[in-house]
Amino acid sequence: MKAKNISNSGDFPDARLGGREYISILQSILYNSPTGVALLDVSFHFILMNDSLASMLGTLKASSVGKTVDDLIPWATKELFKDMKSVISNGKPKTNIEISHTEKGTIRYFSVSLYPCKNRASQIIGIGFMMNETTDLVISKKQVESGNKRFRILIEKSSEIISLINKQGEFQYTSPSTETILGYKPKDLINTNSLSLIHKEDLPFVQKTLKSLVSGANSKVFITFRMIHKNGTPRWMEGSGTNLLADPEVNAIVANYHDITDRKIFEENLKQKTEELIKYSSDLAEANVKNEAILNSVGEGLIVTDELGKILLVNAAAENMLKIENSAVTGKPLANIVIMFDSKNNKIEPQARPIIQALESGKKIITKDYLYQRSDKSKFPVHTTTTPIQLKGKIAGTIVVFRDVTQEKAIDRAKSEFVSLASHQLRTPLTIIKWFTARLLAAESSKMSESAKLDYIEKIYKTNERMVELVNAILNVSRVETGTLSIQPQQVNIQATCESVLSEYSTPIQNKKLNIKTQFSKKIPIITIDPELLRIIFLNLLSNAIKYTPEKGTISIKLDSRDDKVSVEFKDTGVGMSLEQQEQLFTKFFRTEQARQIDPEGNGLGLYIIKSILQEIGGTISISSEKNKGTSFTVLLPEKSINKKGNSTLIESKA
Amino acid sequence: MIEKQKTILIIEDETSLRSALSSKLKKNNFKTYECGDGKSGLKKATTSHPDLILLDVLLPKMSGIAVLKELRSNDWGKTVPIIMLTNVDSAETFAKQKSTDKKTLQYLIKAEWSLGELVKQIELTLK
Repeated sequence: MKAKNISNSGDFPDARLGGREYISILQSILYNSPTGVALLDVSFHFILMNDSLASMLGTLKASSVGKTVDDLIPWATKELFKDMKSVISNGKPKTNIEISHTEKGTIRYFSVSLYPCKNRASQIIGIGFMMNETTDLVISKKQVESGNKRFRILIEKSSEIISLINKQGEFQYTSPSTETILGYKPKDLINTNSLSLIHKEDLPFVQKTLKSLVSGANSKVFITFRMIHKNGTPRWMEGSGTNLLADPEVNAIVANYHDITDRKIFEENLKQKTEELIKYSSDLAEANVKNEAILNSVGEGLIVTDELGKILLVNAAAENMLKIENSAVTGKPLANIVIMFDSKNNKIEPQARPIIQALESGKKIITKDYLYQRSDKSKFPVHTTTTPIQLKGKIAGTIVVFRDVTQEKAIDRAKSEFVSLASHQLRTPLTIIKWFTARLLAAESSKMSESAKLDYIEKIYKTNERMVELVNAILNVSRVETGTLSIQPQQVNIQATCESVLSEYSTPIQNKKLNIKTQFSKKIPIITIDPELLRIIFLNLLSNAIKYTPEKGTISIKLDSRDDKVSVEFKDTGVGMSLEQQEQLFTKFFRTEQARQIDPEGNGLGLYIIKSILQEIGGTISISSEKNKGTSFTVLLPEKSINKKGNSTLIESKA
Repeated sequence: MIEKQKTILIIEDETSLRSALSSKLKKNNFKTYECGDGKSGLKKATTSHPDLILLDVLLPKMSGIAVLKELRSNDWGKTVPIIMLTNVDSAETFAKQKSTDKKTLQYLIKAEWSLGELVKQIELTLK
């Protein structure tokens, strides 16, 4: 077959150009067309093809002639062959046949159109084969298709409702998810008013929102509101509305919203739980405040540690005693913060500390007379109790309770000192009596003179008196301490009592050549007081003044009324004492060093007895003293003494 | 053979006791010095070097214990027999010194001893 066989059908205007010319023009058009063009014979051999097709099929134009479709298009589908056969058999063109093939991993799409080629006798002699690559088109089309599909699925299956509503709020469209979320089929809602589904309470602001959208005041709004499900239950919705009334494609308000009821319930629960938690923690804080107040008002030092011995809490008493601060020591090991020493002042190693023993053994550990070291390195004696805290069968920490026993130790010391003194004071007169009576008994054999005998008897008598006095003092202390002091108030002339006591001590006053000055106010009332107790007070004050004032010194006694009280002042020019000594002066058994030297036999009970008696009857005593200059005691007595414990004795100290 | 008369220093603040002791010792052929406080007692001891000292514990101006310590730190006083004579019930205070200083230091409770027994004890100590 020759190309010239494809000749014009006769009516072409330029037929005059001659057949040959005509063909060459056509040829040039075909050859230069971007569409792949070929001519196939009826058995599908390529007769000719243009450059475009050769390039599409990856072959050379020259070598293509005589090759079959099978040869050059191995990926041609059965459908293509079928179509080619039908074109030949029925002479009708087939257009837009899609074929594709994968080359090096990328798919290429082609569109093929087949036209029958007829001779003048209208016999089909071949097929005009035209092919265009449609890869880009197909792919973009496919993308659009899948995008559409995805979009549709999203709208239909999502939990988001998309509704188009008009200015009045009527549904123009609502997505299928409406049914799953609100129970209504979309078609039942079309043209009904969406506002009728809004919860009553939320209706006003939803209406207002719609208005603002319609008016264009807002082009897009985000709101949370409630809608009523078909079954009557309220559902929380959250979503947005967009004004697309101006968009001719949409011409509606687009509302998309989703159900947040579960989230709301969760949030409500959370809010409730949070409120409960806040209340609980504030209760806890309150309880803590109470606990802390309790802990801090405990006089004992208290330290709480964890199971490793690290400090969790230190109460106010412990802070004061150890000179530490709770905030600064929390979390630190107790053994490092509070150094401990045994009674012999040997440092106790951390592993031997009661706290470690308590943690290891789970038992309460009690120590006595150990020393704690303050943050300033000073030490003080303590009694400690370390109790392990058991929590669900496990040791969770310890509580260390300790007491500063400095005062107790001092009292203990004073007590044992008193025992020593008492033994001395009781035994000394006994010794005198023993030795002198023994000599009197042997008087005949030793030819003792009568005057010597009398002298011995007088000594024995005086010694006995001294013992009586001592025993009385001890008994008074004992009565005061056990609360069995009997108080029998009477009307007493205080001046008379004072003068009587002075006369009792006339001998020692004369012996020491002391100068006594009295100044008794005439306004002193008769007071109601136990006369024996008043005498004990005066006796002790006067005997002290006499004892500690050197020879030729002066003792001034002044009685005066002050408000509803009577003041009694005993002032001497004696040894006096330091401020520090004054502070301890009313402590039981306390004696100053000077007093010890001057009178080794003093018992350190006199002022203690005075203070205790005044405490009982509602009076006070104060001291003013200067070392080596003298001392002045002022007693304030109530006009009517009380007969029970109540008014505490004030001890004022003046330099 | 006439023995040299032994001298006893009595340091005791209680006059009655001091005089009773002194007169009893004199009767038993001792020479006595009497002092009423620790300070003068220590001075007397170091100047007159008695053969034995009767030393009270509770004394004015200087306590018996301070006197004892002073004496023992002094060359002469190291070996002089001392009888601590007191009514203070704190024997344990002297327990240590007693254990190392048995021959030259004794601690007696006055009220437990009669004058006659005391003289015998002094004679025994000086033998």
